[in-house]
Amino acid sequence: MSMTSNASPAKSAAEIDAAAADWLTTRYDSGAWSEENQAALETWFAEDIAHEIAFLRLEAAWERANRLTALKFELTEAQPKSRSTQWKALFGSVAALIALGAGAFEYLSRPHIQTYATDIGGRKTVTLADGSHIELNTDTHIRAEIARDSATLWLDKGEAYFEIKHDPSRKFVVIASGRTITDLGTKFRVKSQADHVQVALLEGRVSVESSDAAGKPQKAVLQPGDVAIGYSHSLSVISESRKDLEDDLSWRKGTVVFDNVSLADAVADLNRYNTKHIVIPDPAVARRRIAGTFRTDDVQGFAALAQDLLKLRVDNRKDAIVISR
Amino acid sequence: MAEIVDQTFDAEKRRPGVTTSPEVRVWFVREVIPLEPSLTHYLRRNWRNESDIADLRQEVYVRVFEAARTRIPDQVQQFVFSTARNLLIDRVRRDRVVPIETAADLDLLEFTRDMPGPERNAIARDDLRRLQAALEKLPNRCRQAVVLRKIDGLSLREIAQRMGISEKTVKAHLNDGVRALADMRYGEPLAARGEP
Repeated sequence: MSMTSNASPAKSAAEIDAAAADWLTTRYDSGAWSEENQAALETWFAEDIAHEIAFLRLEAAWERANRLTALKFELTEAQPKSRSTQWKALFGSVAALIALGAGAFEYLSRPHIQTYATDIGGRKTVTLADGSHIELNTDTHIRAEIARDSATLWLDKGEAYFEIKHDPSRKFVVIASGRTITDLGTKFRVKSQADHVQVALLEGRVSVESSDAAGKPQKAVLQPGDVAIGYSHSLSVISESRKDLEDDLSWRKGTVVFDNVSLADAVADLNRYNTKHIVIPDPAVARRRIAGTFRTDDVQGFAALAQDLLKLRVDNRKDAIVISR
Repeated sequence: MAEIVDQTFDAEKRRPGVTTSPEVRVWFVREVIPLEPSLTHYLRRNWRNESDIADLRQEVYVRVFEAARTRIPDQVQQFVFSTARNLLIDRVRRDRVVPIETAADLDLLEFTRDMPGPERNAIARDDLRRLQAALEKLPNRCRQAVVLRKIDGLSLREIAQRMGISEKTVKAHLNDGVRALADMRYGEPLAARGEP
């Protein structure tokens, strides 16, 4: 064909594009990218500049498509219903809070999706390249896709505390059970539970976006002290005292603080940190209230206190600790 | 005639094996790729054969990229469009078959009117709507795979499970999606869309 230059092998733009797309989708698959892959890609680049150019061009478009998160709702509407639960399918609608500017990116960085996880009872601090910190509480799973102009984190389960270095040229978005939390410069905590998501703001500003039963977008911009609570079809915001906010973060020091909560709530929280659970079969007992600070791994201490203070019976079995009258 | 930036290209200058610095890559993505709608428009206007356009564009990119590896040009638009112009002239001279329109006014290949003005730095603006439109044009299954990958952050394996198809098929859908999104994003000239 007449278009190819004398110096380059006779490959059409379309053929090169096809190959580049294949490299790209491999590279962007979570966790699949190795040093060997990177070396092979560099070799492919070295064969012909057109290879590298095609890859860059496609990658730029693909990176820019990150802002598709903003279309979440319309897209899920347009699609056939998936088999996932209603809760999952309802992935909130999301506003267009996405960085502009051409998609330059950390080109040579390693796999674009990083996974951070803790086991039951575990705790971990992750520092991102920009100096932002994320602390993962017990039994937590986070995936992070970091690009130059955006960072998207999926809180798949568990709880995490975020201290984000605000950068106007880079949007920081956390997606938890379909809620989108966009950082506007800030310290906040996100907890994903079976039927609801909690977002507590300590400093700065975040917006939380979700959708109601009719699929209409809902959005709340939180002020410090606000806690947004989203159930499948509702999003509400309450205010908490500084002390309550901090108590809810005491896990960062390895403790939990209970301030006049029911035994049921306290136990549910404590059980998140331990494989050996406390069980309270009697609802009347579960309604009794308790206060105190406990080490997250100290179920025995908690049980002992319940025994002494509330005059309850503690039965330390092999697989569980049963509290009863 | 607008001034032509002096640039000479020959086969020897293409040096396979030379690695590109990150600066050049970032520069290319930030400064050059956003010009693509205008560049494509320019090429279409001056070249008869539509099926050559993608290859011509690729060759322009190769020349620009190659030059930038030595030194990043200051005047990006000027450089890109004069490269395109020179390429067209080379083609006309080299090829036995000369496109009629092109031959008629070879010296009048005017590129300045295709260059985006300062306010038009091509694509950044109405991105979201444009992206949405591009997405809607994708075939159903392809779109679904792109959405699951991009928005839900699922891996190939998870998408395969969700859609009930093989990982290989998911990959094929994504490959198509990547290319289609790029072509739709960059392919159409803004001017043709009645942009202000």
